[in-house]
Amino acid sequence: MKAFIDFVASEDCVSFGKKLGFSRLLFNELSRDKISKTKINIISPKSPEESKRQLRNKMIDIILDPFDKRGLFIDSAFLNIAKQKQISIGISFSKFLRADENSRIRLLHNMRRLTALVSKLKGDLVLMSLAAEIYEMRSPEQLILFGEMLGLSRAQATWCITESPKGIIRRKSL
Amino acid sequence: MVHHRVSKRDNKKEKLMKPFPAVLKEKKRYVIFEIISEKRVKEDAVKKAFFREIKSFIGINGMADAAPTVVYFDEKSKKGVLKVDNRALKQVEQALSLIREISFNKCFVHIIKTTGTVKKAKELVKRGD
Repeated sequence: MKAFIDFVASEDCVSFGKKLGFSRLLFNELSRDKISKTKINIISPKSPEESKRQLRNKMIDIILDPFDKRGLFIDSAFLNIAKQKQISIGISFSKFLRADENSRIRLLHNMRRLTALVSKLKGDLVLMSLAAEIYEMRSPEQLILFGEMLGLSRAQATWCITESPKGIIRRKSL
Repeated sequence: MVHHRVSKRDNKKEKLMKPFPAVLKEKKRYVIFEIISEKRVKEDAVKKAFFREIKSFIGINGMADAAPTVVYFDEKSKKGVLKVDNRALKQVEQALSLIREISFNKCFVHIIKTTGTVKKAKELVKRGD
């Protein structure tokens, strides 16, 4: 049986996630100033400049949703460096869920472009729910379906919620 | 009193309606779902929310192909069965995972299993699996 791993933004979700079928849930707040060696550091950049700046930081593990309404913050050069430095690119389901119907269109477009770019350059992609409450949580099967919605194959989407986070945990020796 | 006379010939015609060949039959799947929410939800509200979300996600054209119908819903256990066309199953499941609230109650739809027959789906819901 596969070990599904998810990242959540609230401690209440940790116990509930196990009922849904996750074997491990990691409670992670988005860390802008609070970067530490002992935990997985997830950064959500607000601009292309910020994402480039964060790439120089050795402590960063995941760069989350590097895009806004206008487009992606990253390019192929950025992704190659991220790959060398073992920094993963993250996509959160909660961001898509919270958006209204009209902004979901733009969001889905950007997420699909990002997924295509990362899988083309063989980067490390992590799918996470990042739920702030239990109603934002989804089962592993539904996260895989979300991955398929973004253009990944079933095997790739499964990899993004099993092996990719496992690699980060191993690196951080948590 | 007016008696409608049905001739033997007409009656026979009705009985002799030929079924579709297996190739042209609709291939359906039955999705067993559970609604996780604090409050109770009514069947009508569930149907409306499902219809709205699926329509917003796959559009009218997709809806015509998928033809989603809530076949059964148990308000006590909050579990039910949704009938969908085989080809649109994935899209409908994706749309269901985007539901955030039903009649102003925060909730989410947990897909338990997909079966090929309504009998088995209802059995699983009633058994509580």
